[in-house]
Amino acid sequence: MEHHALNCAQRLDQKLDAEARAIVLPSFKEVLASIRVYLLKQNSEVDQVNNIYQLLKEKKSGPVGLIALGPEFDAGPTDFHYRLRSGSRLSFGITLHESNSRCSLVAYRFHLHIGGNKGPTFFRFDLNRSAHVHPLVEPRSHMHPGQDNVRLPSPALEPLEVLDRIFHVIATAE
Amino acid sequence: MPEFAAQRPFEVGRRIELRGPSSYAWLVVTLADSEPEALDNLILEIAAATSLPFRVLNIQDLSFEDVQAHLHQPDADGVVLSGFQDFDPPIWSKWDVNRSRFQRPGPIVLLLTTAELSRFCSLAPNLRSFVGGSIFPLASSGGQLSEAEKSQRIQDLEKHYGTSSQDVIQRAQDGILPPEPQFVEWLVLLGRGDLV
Repeated sequence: MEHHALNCAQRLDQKLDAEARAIVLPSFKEVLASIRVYLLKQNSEVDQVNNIYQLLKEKKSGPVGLIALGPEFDAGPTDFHYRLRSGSRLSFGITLHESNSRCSLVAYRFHLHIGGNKGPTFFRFDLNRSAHVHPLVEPRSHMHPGQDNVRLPSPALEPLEVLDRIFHVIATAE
Repeated sequence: MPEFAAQRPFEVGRRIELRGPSSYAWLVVTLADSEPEALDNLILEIAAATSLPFRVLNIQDLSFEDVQAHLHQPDADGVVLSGFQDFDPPIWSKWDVNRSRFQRPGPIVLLLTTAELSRFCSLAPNLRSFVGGSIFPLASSGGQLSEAEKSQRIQDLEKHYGTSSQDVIQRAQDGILPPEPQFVEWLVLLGRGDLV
């Protein structure tokens, strides 16, 4: 790989890493409630087809908590996905580290499988736990535009900001 | 007493939101004793649903005048009143007679057990009329991953990555855990958040 590209990717990854570390969120329970309410409000737009209270899951282990919806990997439609009006389906997992009633982001993955025949078949927003040894190929914070092995750098976003892009940018363009 | 359908905290919040700001609303929520986290969830979710700050005011050791002062300083936020277990008929009567002194623009949610609700209805009929039909038995927010769901996720991870949970723990202990988000989730599912 070109040396210049590697150096640039390294610098960018350091910026993405700093952005991710700078994000301070409220307590785990508050983040969970804000995501639940966000999805409940979205769900009222699709005639309550999703049972958010059943779909949204939590698990804590010491200071680290997981907020998850849908399967670990999207291998086809399930009853555990959030269904959008367009026919797309959403699954995600967010891990947070809680200390003194504040949370930092450890990692996240938001997988939106696109329902129609236009454009990419999915978008996935990932924040890795740490930097990869090849930041050009895998930046810490990245987006997959429909291919598992294509990862384009993306700003480190708060979970609700990712949902904003999914519901108000991608879904509205479908 | 009529039966009311159980509501999630979000629905309670929506009812408050529908009344608009400065609603002077009074509501009653009944909570199952077996859910210690339910009050936290109630506060967080109705606050998120209404975009109003909410606070809990435990009135157990407060005088009538103290409660009045707390409700008016400030008076536009949402307040959940709890701690009615020692309310005897004279106290309910005092609240009922002086109910107008509690009135405030922000919503008031009375958190009662079923038995307290029954006493409230019979001993404070005027206050009861403030509440009207806004009585909500609270349904659980749920959401904890069950053992079966946890096991299924772990199985899916082991199958997808072709490795065992023990190996993932070992890699985390050796500081060579892959950076992908699923590996952190895997550790949480295994109860090894300490290794993240």
